[in-house]
Order: sequence, then C-alpha cells, then structure tokens
Amino acid sequence: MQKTKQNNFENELEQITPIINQLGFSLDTFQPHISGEKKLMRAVTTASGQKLILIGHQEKGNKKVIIKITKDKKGVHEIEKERICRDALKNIIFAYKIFFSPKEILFTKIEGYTISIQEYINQESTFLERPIEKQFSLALKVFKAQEGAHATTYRHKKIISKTFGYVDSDWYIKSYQEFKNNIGEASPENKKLQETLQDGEMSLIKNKEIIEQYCGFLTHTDFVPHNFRVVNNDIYLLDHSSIRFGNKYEGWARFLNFMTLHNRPLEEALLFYIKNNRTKEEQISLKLMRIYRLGEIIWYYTNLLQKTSGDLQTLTNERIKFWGAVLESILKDQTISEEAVNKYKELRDSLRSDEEKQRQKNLH
Amino acid sequence: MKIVIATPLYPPEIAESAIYSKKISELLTKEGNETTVITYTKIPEEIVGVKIISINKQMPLPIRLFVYTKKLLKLAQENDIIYAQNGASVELPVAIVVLLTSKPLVINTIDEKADEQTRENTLLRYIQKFAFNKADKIIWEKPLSKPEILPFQENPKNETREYEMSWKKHTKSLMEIFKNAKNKTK
Repeated sequence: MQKTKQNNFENELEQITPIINQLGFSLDTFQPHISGEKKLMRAVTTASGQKLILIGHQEKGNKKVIIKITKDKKGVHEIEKERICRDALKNIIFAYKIFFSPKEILFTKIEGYTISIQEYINQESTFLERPIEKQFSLALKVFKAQEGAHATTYRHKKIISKTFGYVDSDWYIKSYQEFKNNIGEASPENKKLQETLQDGEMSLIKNKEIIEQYCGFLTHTDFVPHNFRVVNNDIYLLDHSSIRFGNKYEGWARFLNFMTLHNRPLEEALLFYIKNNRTKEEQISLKLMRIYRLGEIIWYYTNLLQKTSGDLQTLTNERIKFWGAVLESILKDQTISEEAVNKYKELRDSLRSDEEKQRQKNLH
Repeated sequence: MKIVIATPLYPPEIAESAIYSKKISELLTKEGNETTVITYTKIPEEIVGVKIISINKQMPLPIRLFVYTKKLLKLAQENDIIYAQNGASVELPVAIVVLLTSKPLVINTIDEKADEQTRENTLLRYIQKFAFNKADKIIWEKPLSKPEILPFQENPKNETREYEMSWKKHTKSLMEIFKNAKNKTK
C-alpha cells in the first residue's frame, strides 16, 4: 500500500515538473513535504485537500520558492481559501496588530492544476533551536497578535464569514463527538480510550458557555513551528488556510499539545504565563481546547491505522496510546510525566524509517 | 453609592477600556458601592458582587443601540450616577438617558482608539459633543496597566505595587468626583 502511494507521488511529480518549468521555475531534488511519513499523512487540521507542497527555485534570480499545486477539488479550495485569507488578513479593520505573510509570486490555473507560488521565507535557525526565552517571547507575541483580532459585531461577522470562517461552541462539541464516535466504531475494543474520550466530552458539554465566551477570536489552528518562520523579531505565518475565527485558545492548545512532545520547558513556560496572567475562565477554556484538539489527533491516527502496515502501523498504535495518555493527564489537570514522553519518543524513533528521520531534521 | 458603569467593551474583549471597566467595577464594589455594568459584550467575565448586563453585539447596530438605551434608562432610574467610558455606542445612549432623567454623568475618555475614530468622523464628533454637554465631569484618567508575570524573569513586585497604588488613588479620586457630581445635581 505504501509502495503504491510512493508511485502515485512519483507519477504526479513527473506530470508536474514540465508545467513548473514552463512557468519559469524548477523543483528541488529533496522535497521534505512529500517524503517520509508525509507521503501517507496529510495535515492534521486542514480540510485535507490533496495538494502538494514543493520546494523549488525561480529561474530568474535563482530565488527559493514554495510551490503549492493541486488538481483535487478540496486542494483547490484550500489554495484559494489561503489566498483569500492572506489578503483579508492585511485588511482586518478590527485587528490591532499586524501579521506578516510570504509574498505570492504567481497564482495560475494551468492544465487542470491550480498553482500558487510564494517566496520562501528563510530563517537563520529553526524555532526550536532558539533559546527557550526567545521561543517563549516569540510564541506569546504571535498569540497576542491573534487575540487582537476579535470579531464581535454583526459587521465583523459579515466581513469574516466568507473568508476565514467562524466556529462556535456547538461546532466544537459536535466535532469532538464525531471524533469520539468514529474512534469508538473503528476501535471498539479500546474501552479505556472510550472512557477517557467520554470524560472529555462531558467536560466540553459542562463548560459550553466558557467555550462560547472566548469564541470570535482569530486563531491559527495549526500554529506549530513548521507552519511559521522567524525573521528578526517578526513571525511570518504560513498555511493561511488554517486560520479561522474560533476559540481564542484553539491555537494555544495545538501549540501546547505539540510542545508536550517537542519542548516540555516551553509548554511549562506558556502554562505558567496563562496561570499567572489570565483569568480562571481562560485557563478552563485552554484546557477545553486541548481536550478538543487531542480528540482530533487521536481520531486522525485511528483513521490512519487501516492505511498503514508494518512499523508505521505499530507507530500509529503507539501514537494513539500516547495521545490518549496525554488526554487523560489534561483531564486530571496534570501534565504527562517526562518519563512517559521519553519512553514514547524512544519507541517512535526506533520505528521511524531513515527517510522520515531525514525529513524530521531541521523541520521545527 | 449605586453606580452604573456604561462601557462599550468588557472582557473577554482585550481593549484597554474593557480591562479598565472590569477592574474599576471590582474596586468600586470593594469600596462598598453597589455597581452595575452595562456593556455590549456577549458573555462577560463575571466578578463577585458586580451585576453585569450584556447587550448582544451581534444584533444589527440600530437594534443594539435601542436595546442598550432602553436598559440604561431603567438602570439610571435605579442608580445614583452613570459612569461612562467613551465611544459612540455608549455616548449616544448615555446622552439620551441623561436628557430624560437628569442623572449625574461622568465620562472617562479612556479608549484612545475610539477617540481617534471620533476625531475623524463628523457624526461621531457630534454624538460625543452631545454626550459631553450632558456630562457633569469629563475625565482623562488612566491608571497603570497590570504588569505581566513572565517566566524566566523576576516577579515584578515593585511594578505590581505601583500598579495597585495607582488604582487605589484613581478609585479614591473617582469617588470624590461622583460625590461632587451627585451633590451638584441635587
């Protein structure tokens, strides 16, 4: 199954290459976005359109570029949404802060493909290579910038509904219930996970008003280091299709869940900030969003199980167990033990292919 | 004293005037006053002892202005003074309500952004003028912003002390202004 997928990618690249060349661009040999596990996994949080993200160079000036290309209907929608969101972001009249986005060099539709080519934002070092204090201040700066865009009035909602989209407490609860039910159907034998997910559902329902209270804020639902670039002190947001108006803490939740695995001190620093500077309701809202996002990631991996085999299937099962354990901890207002995280990481690394290990280098 | 705080913004909004309104209503209540907040925020953050009336901002503008004015009129009849934060969506209702009830009115022009918008718009300028003419006192007082407690940094104890002092001073000065405005109206 994995071989077939690889062949599909190679065939697609063969078709795409002359089109890209015709437009005055060339593709790089190493493509991190379509190697390793990326061949099988699509972005966790977006509408999962089948788009390819490629790295290339503009022939004129040899400038490095990012090429997003697709024939898939959902993928086209994502690329188009991203363009609309990127432009709209510059013009949100109720945003108090300024966002940075990579410049679009070319947008075209050719031979059934929708293509968007953007400048590649180079950064001196990856986010996680920077000192922890710097990571903290950069992350906080972005969260505050996002929080500065709050759609509250009838007019605000009208402006954003056709671009970014707007989700409320009902949507979060309904989506989580879908994750829970889907996981239950796919893995009926995992009673413990079902109980944990059930507890999560109860928490969301019980605190529905708190979820709603902090809705209407701009949030990047896939705000993780590989989706932004740091240049000087400015953060460039990539993947604008993941921007929507929703709970203020949805972006925080995704970031913190990511840092549970990749950088515990940063997770702790951000939790310290929230505890000491935000209201009790906001702390609950963050917890609820972490529950929601964990339900989503567990469903993502559960859904992936049937499409995997061998080591990747074993790893996917371990991922489900790990994120289930994180969910259990969050529900108890605790953080998962360092020991459990390290144990999982060791296992994960032993199960990863060489190609995936290579792809992971300098990714975050 | 029974005080109505009329504000356009209130937390979870993050604007300065929202944060100010929450803090001052909390402090005025601690001083023994009966405080009611009226705001456009959909689900406001609660404070023990403070009554908050929220007008849903997602209603079209003329409707929400009408609802705000109607609720404020009722509150004005039950309270001693109206303390309003600047912004046309509050200035218009307070001016109408004071015109009808002759309640003492104090306006704080804390929201610089709203003030900037007013300066650039003739209609908003007219509304502000109307409200200012009805006010017993217009103030431009802004106590210190709360210092943040950050990881990897020392706890800002001195800044926190100064912040608390500035709010204490501001609350005391407000109480004097309210008393004078109330006596003047009598």
